[in-house]
Amino acid sequence: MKVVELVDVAKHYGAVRALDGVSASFESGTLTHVAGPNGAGKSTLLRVIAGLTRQTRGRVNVLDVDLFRSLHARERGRVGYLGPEAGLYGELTLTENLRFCARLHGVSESRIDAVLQRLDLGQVRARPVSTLSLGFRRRAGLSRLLVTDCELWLLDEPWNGLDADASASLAGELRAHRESGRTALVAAHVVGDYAALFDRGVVLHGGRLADA
Amino acid sequence: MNAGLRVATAVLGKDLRLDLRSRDRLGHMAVFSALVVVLLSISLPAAKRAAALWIPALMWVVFLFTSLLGLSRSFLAETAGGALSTLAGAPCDRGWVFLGKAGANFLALLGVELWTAALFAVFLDVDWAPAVWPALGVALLGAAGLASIGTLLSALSATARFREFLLPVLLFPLILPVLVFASQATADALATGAVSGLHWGALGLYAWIFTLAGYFVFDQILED
Amino acid sequence: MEERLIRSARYTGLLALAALAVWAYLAWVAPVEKAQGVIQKIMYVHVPNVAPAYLGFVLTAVGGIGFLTTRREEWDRFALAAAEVGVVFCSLILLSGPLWAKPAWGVWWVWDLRLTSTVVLWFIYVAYLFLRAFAAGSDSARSFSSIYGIVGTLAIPFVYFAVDLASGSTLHPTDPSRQGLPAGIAAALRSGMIAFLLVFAWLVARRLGVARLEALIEERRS
Repeated sequence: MKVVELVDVAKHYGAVRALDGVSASFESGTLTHVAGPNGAGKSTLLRVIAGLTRQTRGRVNVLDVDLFRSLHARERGRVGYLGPEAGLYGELTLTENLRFCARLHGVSESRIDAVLQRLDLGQVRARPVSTLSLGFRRRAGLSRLLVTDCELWLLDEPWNGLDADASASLAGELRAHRESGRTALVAAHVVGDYAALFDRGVVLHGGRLADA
Repeated sequence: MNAGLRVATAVLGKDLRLDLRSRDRLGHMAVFSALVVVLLSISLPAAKRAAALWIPALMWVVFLFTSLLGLSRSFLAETAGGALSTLAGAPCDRGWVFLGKAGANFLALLGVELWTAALFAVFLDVDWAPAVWPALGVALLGAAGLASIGTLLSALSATARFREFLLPVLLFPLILPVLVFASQATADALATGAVSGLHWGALGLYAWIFTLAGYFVFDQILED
Repeated sequence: MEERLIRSARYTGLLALAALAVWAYLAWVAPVEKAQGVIQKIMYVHVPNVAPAYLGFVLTAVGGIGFLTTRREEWDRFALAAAEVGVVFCSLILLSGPLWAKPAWGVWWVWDLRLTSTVVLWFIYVAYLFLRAFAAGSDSARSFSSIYGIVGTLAIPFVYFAVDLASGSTLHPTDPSRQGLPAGIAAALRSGMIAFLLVFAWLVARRLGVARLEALIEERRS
């Protein structure tokens, strides 16, 4: 099943063409690595798929719907986006943040404890997110996706700032995600040791997509 | 529970928690308002009875300027940590996010209004006793109108340059009707103990229309 | 549609020129009002600005709605053109008013219903243009301006009503069409209104043309 389908998608920021006619589809149960140099449009691609940015041209179908139509708003809950920032409130504790996200998505709060344990975040659960180190903050961002139990993960440079242990843990989470039949697109200009993790690789260059 | 209502209450609760925990917004508004009232009470002519005609309008102007401090920071927490995309990912009509945010602003603004009214009672000898209930009603509707348009414009200016300048420039011409209706209604309440149906209707209609407007356009604001 | 509007500028321009000539003539030969003297003729410059000023903002809102629903940039260009031209007519009202009022009634300004509403409208225009300027470069600048245009237009009836409630007596001459006006004066006024509306339409079309060229240049550059 096609989880993501892009047909001639373009995104212009004024004169800058971040995406210039991208057509691709991504199957469920796959991990795809989106590679490309800085400024190639990887972040824009993920944001467009996540429904955070409206494309200038073309059609974007995620989980068979157009996320921008409020008729399909409920489907947004199935997509989890983790950008360069964790997407959390610095003044709230990690637990409070996760409770908020759970309520936002209508998911039971009982998942929070299990997720915190799995990502080894139990020790920092009661601290305001702004006081966490970069590595912990990145993991906290991922915990948001695990709590809300989304089907499609869109991760933008998730390995940034992670130490060896945390990196391995992230890889493990991605593997588990795929094993449960779900999908992820990971934008990273370098994946190093984890290249073998991915089922598919695509390269974004100058706003255009090509298979690696 | 309806998904939208759940999202709105979650956002409202989260904002209230942030406000009460950091006390920045509320504290700064309270201090600013007190400062201005003290300045006024010192510089206004001693014949307070003459100034009495101006008091209601003055109070609403003070309140309007104070509210700017709070409104301009309405979306600060979201833009700081990338949480705007978390909100945008809510699985419901995004207008509900607006309602949650505007609701939190409403409560904050109502608090500031009551505080300002108390300051006016203490420093400018305003006797609220004969007019408490109608004045409170005006306060509620005034806060609702200001919260709705204020939240909307705060979102529009959150990522623009010169935000501190832009928000009042955007807000003041549009909030003028509330200023007029509310100060006239407050003056009537103080003078006669009652507010005319015309004023109730005008304030209510304004709050209603701009809450609806905010609800419907918020979608466009959350997307890039 | 944008193309047609831009091309219409030629004809609108010629019509406007003709209408201006008619208006100028009628204003010149119109009888001089006894009470105010010849200075009263500033009215023929002051009054016809009103319709374009208010129409300009309504069209800005229309452009905004058009952009938000279709996402086509030509609507946004239209909104911008209407705003930039409308604010000029609005400014002319505010400049010509005092020029008339001071010699005629001895005061530079008075806070009456019409003038006050126009001042607020001017500030709303200016706020819209500031928003465009400061949000420019950000991708959402167009949606945000569209939203402000719509919200601003929603507020105008409230502003009018509020100013009505707030102001007391008015020094402003009452609506000329309600009194019986001598034929010469009425004709001059009416021709002025038509002429200024045509000038407004011509200016909007020209500004739209410029905006379109600017957009094309941006596109070619990338």
